[in-house]
Amino acid sequence: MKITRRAFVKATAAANAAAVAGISLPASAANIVTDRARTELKWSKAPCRFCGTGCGVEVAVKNGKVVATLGDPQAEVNRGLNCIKGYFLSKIMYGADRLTTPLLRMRDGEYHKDGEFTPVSWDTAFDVMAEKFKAALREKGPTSVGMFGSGQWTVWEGYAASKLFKAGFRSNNIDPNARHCMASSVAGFIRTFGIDEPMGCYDDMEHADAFVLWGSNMAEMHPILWTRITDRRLSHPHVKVAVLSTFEHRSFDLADLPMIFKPQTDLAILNYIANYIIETGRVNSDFVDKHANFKRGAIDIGYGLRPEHPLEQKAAGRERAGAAEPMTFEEFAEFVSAYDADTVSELSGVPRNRLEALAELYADPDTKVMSLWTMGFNQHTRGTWCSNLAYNLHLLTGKIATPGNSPFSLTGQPSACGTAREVGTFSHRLPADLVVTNEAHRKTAERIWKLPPGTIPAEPGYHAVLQDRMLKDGKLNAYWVMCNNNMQAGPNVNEERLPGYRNPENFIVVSDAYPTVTTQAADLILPTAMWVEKEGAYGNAERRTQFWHQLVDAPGEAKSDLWQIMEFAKRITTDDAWPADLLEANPDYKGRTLYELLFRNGHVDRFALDEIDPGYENVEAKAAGFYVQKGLFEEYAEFGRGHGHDLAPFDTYHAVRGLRWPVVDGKETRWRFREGSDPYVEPGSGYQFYGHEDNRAVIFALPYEPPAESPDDDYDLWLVTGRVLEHWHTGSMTQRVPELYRAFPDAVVFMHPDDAMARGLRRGDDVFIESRRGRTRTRVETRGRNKVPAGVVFVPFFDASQLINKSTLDATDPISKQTDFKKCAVRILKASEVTA
Amino acid sequence: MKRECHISSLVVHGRPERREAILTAVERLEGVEIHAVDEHGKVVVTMETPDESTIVSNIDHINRIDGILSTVLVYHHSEDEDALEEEITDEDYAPGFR
Amino acid sequence: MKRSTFFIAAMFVAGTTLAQSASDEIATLRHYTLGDEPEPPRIADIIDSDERRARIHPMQPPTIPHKIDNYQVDLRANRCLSCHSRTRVEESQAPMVSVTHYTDRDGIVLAEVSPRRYFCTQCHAAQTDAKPLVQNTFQDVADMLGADAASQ
Repeated sequence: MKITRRAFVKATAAANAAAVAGISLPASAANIVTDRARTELKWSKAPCRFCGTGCGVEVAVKNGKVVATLGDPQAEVNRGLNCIKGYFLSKIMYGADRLTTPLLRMRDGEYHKDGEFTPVSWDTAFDVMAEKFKAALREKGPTSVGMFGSGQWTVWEGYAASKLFKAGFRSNNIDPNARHCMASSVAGFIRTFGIDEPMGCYDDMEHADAFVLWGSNMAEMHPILWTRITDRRLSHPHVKVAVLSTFEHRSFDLADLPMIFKPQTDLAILNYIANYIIETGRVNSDFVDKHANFKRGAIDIGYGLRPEHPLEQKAAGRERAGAAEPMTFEEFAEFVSAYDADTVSELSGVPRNRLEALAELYADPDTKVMSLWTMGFNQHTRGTWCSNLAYNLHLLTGKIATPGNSPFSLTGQPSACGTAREVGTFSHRLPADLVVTNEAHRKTAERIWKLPPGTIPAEPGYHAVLQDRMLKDGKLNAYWVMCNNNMQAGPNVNEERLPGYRNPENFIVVSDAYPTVTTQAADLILPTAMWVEKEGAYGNAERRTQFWHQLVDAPGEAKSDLWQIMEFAKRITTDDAWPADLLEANPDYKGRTLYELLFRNGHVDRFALDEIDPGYENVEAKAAGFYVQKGLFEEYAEFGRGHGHDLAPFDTYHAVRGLRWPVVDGKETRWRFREGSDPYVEPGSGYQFYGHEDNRAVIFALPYEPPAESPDDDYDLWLVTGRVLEHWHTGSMTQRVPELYRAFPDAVVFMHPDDAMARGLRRGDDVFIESRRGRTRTRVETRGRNKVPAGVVFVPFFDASQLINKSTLDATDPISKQTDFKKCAVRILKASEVTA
Repeated sequence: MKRECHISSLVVHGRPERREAILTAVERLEGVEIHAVDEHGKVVVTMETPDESTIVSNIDHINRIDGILSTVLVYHHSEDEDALEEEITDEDYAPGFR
Repeated sequence: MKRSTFFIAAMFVAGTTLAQSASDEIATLRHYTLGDEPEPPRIADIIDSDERRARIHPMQPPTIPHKIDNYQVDLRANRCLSCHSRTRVEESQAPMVSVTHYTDRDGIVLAEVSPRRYFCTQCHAAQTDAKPLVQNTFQDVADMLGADAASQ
């Protein structure tokens, strides 16, 4: 049969529209298909794409598309359950606006900072990008190039990116968005224990007698872990749940002991509990004598603002923020004695009887306590201190590293632990807790990476907020943003980041699966494969490493971050990136592409393609000609094996539902630091906090200090930002799933009805929320899931049309460099009364 | 100068209870053809127009029909009018999603 | 000259203009420059029709087809189960919670709804009448089977 091109084009047009509409053009005759061969689905395991809980899912594929997911009944984390986002995972890759080709700002046929986004080939994209990176290296050296990465990168993507920058470009200016998320917990772990990540695991939830939420709304942000706590609480009536927050949220529905405290006073409450434990004679002296040291930390450490800011000028301790000096138990007891019940009740606004009931949970030797925290602690100008002070309570009572006794930092991103932290994609870190400032650590990395001594720079690079400032100041000029949406998620959009991205001196590359406000501010957009469109590995909050296979192909020209990193590395040579003296001293390294140097090093490329499971595609490996994911993972694992971070062999992870490191002799570790459950603890020692040379953890004396900005006459309300259950972070995935979008379509400002009335406002009114830095237009919500106290407002940040981070302050914890998104001062104005 | 032909497709979403009125109003437009309708009120439409601006004006027109919720342009192809009359064998006829 | 374009669908959603400034053209969740502060949409209403909706696959928890404002679900009471629990559906004529809700972490079937399923809104959400900003091209497996059948 012959048809005209007209008919053909029209049929194609109709078919495409039908696919978008979800309509099948030819009507089907029978109303059910029963043919087994056709109804069978291919099911494979994967971790969920969203939060740090790390639920296992089973993913069904048919005709090259994901058609269903279900909670994996075999996954220990979630045992068949998912939250609402997880049940809609099958739609996250199918937003109709997936990016499918590189887009470059062009004018008159060439790149122009103010040009219009124009489709280009990958070759053109990389050519322009290489030219910009080389020019920056040539003119200003390695500190002028940088990358902002992600706790959503797979393990090998983060590892490859870290190598490309720290070894290839010799620039430590690589930092993950986990800086906004986990950095304070990391610094807390390193200070108290000398080694990152929780000693316990999720199994603690089935053993604890009391749960204390310190600034964490698990009911919405970690729903599946909340199901485990709910299960424990409702099944065992003696169990108590205490929830502390600056406003009332869904987790309060399970609270036996609900507490609303004034912002920042969590520091005082923590010290009060330590004081209570001491004063009531419940210190576990045997444990403390054997396993702890006491230290007094530096105070008045500033707020991580620009150095010329008045608050920094007057902060006496800002040059030595992380310093500490030894002290005695008696001196510590004296220090915390200032935090008595009356003083702290007055400061925090929490009634005295509730403070006492909370303290008793920790003090009672027969109550096993799990403390849990997320962004309330981490996004805090004293976030590191919060972690340290929480560990104090568990160390003073010896309630640690045994089932149910567990200070536990939850993570927000699916691989905040696995990629950002363990791989060490922070500007000061290397894999397995090594740091760039330590010469021996750099040598280890240079040996494993087969690089000449002196390749890795010793100075920490620019961290997240500093990258924004350096972009604005024109010192960071070639910048690659990968796997995050920082224009929406990062603080102080107006004063720092947006001017930085649009600074004519800078070239900004953004890799993403979807158009976002960050791509909107970019110069070059690279279309990116996501989730099961590539082989991957994530590490969750309980040290569990989980793998998945590539299950479907990415649309159009979209390519994974790993492919992008390796292909770009082919465009840069050591001659472009390295100084003459390093090359003269090591002439073998002259004229090599960074791809050859980092990925064809006889190490990463040692596994052949035939080792790939024949049941699955692997686009990156086939492009490279070797099993690149396995090569990268096995090279990376060398850093940690035998050093407390042991990972199992690569292939094991494809067979199991994840394992919690250290994995020694094929066995995972559920509780670290305790004899019998951690293979690194020596017999007879009981406990060893082996992150520190003396095997002791540190109990810190740290005071309450006020926040960077508090409400005043002009800006009279606290602004707290955060998430909602149905959307994940900036909503770039969940806002494209119709069911999730319709569940919570637009951001609102949650206000106390009295605050609204005092301003002549009613529910649904159009308002500006305004700080000293910027303003955002939204609508008033006086009902709903969050009940804020008078004086506090809450705005979620998932809505691309309501960029609440125009108002937030880029004040950070001076130790962890993490931004405080929970405290700044704003006012609310009726939109009709604002003259535009 | 050769004449161009623009073939495009749309998904028009209207209230199901207004379906008949919507279909009648859409069909009245020059060069517009309806390919499928579903129970939720989604309609697959193709258009043949002499230029791009007619696509835009047709979309505007459709959006003004009572009961229309959204109109989304999905596909657009332009070619010389003559080339479109060329015959091809139906092996090439493979309408598919990408 | 031949040109074919597969559009980023929803770029031309009703009401948006074709030509926007350069910095805007690729953003589809936000239709404004980064500096703009547009009037936000009115707070969307919850659909309260009580009509059941199709699920995208058999394992999807159903969305809630009615308002749940001020429903008490806490340590003291669970308003949802006062209609949807096994013993109440005869009276309420509401759908019974699925049988999966009676199994614990270890797959053991309990006499009552498992406490791990106690907070209904972790999986089930009401739907507003807001119009999605972007289409989703997810293909229902039933449509796929239908399309196969028609092409055979």
